[in-house]
Amino acid sequence: MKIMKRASWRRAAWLLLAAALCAPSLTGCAAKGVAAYQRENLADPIMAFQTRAKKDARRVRALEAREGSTGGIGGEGGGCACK
Amino acid sequence: MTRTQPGIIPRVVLLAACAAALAAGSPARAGDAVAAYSAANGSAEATLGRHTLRMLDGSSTTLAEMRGQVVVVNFWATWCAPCRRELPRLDALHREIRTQGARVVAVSIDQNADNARRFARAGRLSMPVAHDGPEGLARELDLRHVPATVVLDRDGRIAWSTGRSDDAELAKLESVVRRLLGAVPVVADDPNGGGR
Amino acid sequence: MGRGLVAVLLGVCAASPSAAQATGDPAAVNGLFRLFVDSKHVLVRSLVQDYSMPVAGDVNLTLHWNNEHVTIPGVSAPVGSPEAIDAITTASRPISGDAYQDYEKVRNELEGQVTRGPVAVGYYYSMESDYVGQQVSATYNRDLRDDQLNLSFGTSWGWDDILPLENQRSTTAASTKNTLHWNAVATQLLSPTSVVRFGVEYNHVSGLQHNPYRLVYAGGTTVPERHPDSRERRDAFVKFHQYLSNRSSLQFDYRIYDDDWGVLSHEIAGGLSQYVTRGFYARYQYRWYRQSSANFWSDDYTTTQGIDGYLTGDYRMSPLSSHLFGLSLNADLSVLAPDSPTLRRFALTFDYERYFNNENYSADILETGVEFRF
Repeated sequence: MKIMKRASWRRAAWLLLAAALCAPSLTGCAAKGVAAYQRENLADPIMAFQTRAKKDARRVRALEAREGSTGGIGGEGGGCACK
Repeated sequence: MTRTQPGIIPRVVLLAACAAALAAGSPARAGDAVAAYSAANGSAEATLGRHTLRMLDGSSTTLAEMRGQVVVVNFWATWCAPCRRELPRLDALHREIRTQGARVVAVSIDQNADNARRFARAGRLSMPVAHDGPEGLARELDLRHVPATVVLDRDGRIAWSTGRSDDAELAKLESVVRRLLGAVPVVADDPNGGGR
Repeated sequence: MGRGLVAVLLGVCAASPSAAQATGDPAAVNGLFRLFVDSKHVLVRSLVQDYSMPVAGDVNLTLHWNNEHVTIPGVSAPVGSPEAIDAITTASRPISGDAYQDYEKVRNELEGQVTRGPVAVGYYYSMESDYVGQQVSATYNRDLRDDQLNLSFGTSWGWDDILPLENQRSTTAASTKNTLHWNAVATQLLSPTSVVRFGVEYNHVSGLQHNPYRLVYAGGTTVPERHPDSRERRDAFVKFHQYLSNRSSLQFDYRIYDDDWGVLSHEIAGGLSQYVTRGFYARYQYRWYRQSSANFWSDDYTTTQGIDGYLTGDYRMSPLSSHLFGLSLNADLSVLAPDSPTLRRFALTFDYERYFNNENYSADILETGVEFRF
């Protein structure tokens, strides 16, 4: 696989995050979104990011000792519309 | 090799500005959603009142049949952690007010009634629990958050509503209910007075 | 950089309402046993305990303790040889007179985190015979747009004290290593059955970043390994989950990483979770990884100066590719045994992973865990 040039991957990373923040406005998803009563599947353990958070952290730590890179696990919750 | 990456602070500030701009529209709370429904459709109370609720014990009822009582309607789900946390406190409230012409009715929006039944049994809930699913009242009222709690006065009007479940909000709910219970019923000889 | 980050975080916090939210999570204890065995016969046994409980009001406290016992087998290699083996804990061993004996090392990790509403702060401490690591961390997250979007910002500062064990060939004295980290993550609901998460992360590491016991063959002799004492590490990732109608879900992850040592890597991972019966599901996963080498890596240094003054015997600085296969089983007894007042408080997990890379290295990782809710 061709490796992207470093400058272009950095641009891509920032664009990726900016797209995540602005995508709802651009796509119109925010106008309606996913209602609270539609979120049962999203809260299921096989869907929630939090389910594997600790396991993923352990795996990243183990792989850091085996490979030259790190990361990919940051972030908190969200999604259930539960308050 | 040790050069600081240029432009990173402006990019972080830009992202934070994006985030703040998105945050500018504050999210609607469940109470707001019910009020908005009323404003648009004229009668969330009518929707609430006429909807048939299937209770976990197999019976059916409507909130209209409970007129004359103060009714706390709580929409919840087993997959909602704040819902699970507040239900015991709502159950305690129900035990306190059920002899005073009031009740709490918990309406589950779980897809599967067995989940609600299992939770109610494990929690030994004494309050009436209905299973309405995600396509019932929750969709009709277009609830934006769970848990959502609506307090109906003795005439079936929405006296108060909330989409929060923290301790302060639950204390507010309890005081609203006690205040409504202290009010004299408008129609003393309402045939539905005294409730079920 | 640090000042800018603090300013941004303060700005975000000031713009948000201060009301705390109930988490709704019950108190729980998790116990986990983990076994790591690799092709070099390194054995790591980990006992992990996590304790989570709500305290006054809307405050939640989490405590974590990990006790790891590492056994690195005897090595028939010259003192300071690159054959010194790194284990799951990055524990390395001094190779001196008793190199032919198994080397054992114990590591203890303690972490505490306090969460109130959208804010969490934590402290981490780890200790082993030649390494003490500490870290303070903070995260803030906020739900936006009717809870369709969650933004999370995190930062941490770590400081490590490295005290190499006595080794007559090591020239490394007591040293330190500091790590500044921040991350920004966005989680967006796409539909009632799909969700996506984007994130960027940054680490600035300064201080000792090479194996203090390792020597590198260069220019006809052996010299101590030398890495730069500063490293900027960056990554961006995306994760996508899709719920399928047969009570299963697909997961897709992609991460790109690079640093100023020249390492650039890609990681692609996929998973399939499937309910076998209510409350019991299996998860299958696969991960592909590939990285380029560090700028100063070589398998044949012609002079003792290496490349730009740096030399490495660490295979992690070389071009690398790897695969990982995994199977996970999860059982929630509150669903499988709801009428048992004791059993319904338990959840059980079992995980197995098989890892191998192009350096003829492979490892098996086995985890079994128990969660008790009370």
